[in-house]
Amino acid sequence: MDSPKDRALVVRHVHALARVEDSGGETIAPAVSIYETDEAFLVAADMPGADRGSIRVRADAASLTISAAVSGDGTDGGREHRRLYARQFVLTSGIEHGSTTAEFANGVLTVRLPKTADSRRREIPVRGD
Amino acid sequence: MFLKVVRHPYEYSSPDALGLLSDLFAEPGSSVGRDQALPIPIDVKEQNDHYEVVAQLPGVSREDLRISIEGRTLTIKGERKGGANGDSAKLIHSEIPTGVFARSLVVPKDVEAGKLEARLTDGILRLTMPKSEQSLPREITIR
Repeated sequence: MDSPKDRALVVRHVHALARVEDSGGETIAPAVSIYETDEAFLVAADMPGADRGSIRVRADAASLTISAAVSGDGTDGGREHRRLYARQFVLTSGIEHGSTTAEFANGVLTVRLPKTADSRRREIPVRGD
Repeated sequence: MFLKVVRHPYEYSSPDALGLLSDLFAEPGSSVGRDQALPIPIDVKEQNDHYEVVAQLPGVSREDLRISIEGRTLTIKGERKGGANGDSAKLIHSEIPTGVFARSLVVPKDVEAGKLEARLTDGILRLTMPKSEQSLPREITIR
C-alpha cells in the first residue's frame, strides 16, 4: 500500500523547466534525488560551483523552483559566458510549502518540504477488550 | 533506471594536443572495478606557470576524498555517500548515482610534483600543479 511509486506521485517533477528571468546563458537542469521521511520530502539537487548568493528557492502551493548562477564562469577564453542551474517541480497537495527550508553543502542544494499534518503517516490505535 | 551508472565520454576541449595529459582510468592494483566506479568529468587548463585540473564532485565531503601522486601518476579517488537525514529517509526518486570513484592522470613532466595543491569548494575540486622553474619561459638579456 505504501509503495515508493504511490508516494512519488506527491512530488512530480517537471523535467525541462527552465525559464529563468534575465538568463541569456546556458541553463542546466541539475540532477536530483528525492527522499521521503515521515515528516517531509527532501529534494537534493547537484549544483556544483553554484554561487551561494544567487541560489533561489521558491515554493508555492503548486510548484517548487530552484535556481542558481554558476560562479567563477565569468570569462572563458575571453568570451563571457553565463551558466545557470534551474529546475522546477510540481507539488501536489499535502505539502506545507510555507515552511520550506533549504541548505547548500558540498555543492548539493537540499530543499526540505514538510508534509502537512493531514498527510503524515499516523498510527491508528487499535482498541479492544 | 536512473541508478545505473552511465559512463561519461571524457571529452576535453583540447584533448592531449600538447601531449600534456593522458587518461589512465584504470587504477593499478585497485579494487575499484571499471563498471562500478562513478565517472568524474574533469577539465584541464594550462596557464603560464601552472596547470589546473577541475573536477565536479558534488556531494563528496573532504573526508571522503583522497588525492595522491606516485611518480607522475596522480590519482583522485573517493566515495559519494547517499542518503539524507539518516536512515529514516526513503529514496523515492534517484538521478544521482552514489558509490566509489577513482581516476588517474599522468601529469606533465614540467610539473613540480611536490607542490601540488588541492581545494574542494562547493562540490568543485581544483588541483593546482605549478610548473617547475626550469620549464618556465625566460627572457634572455642581450648584451
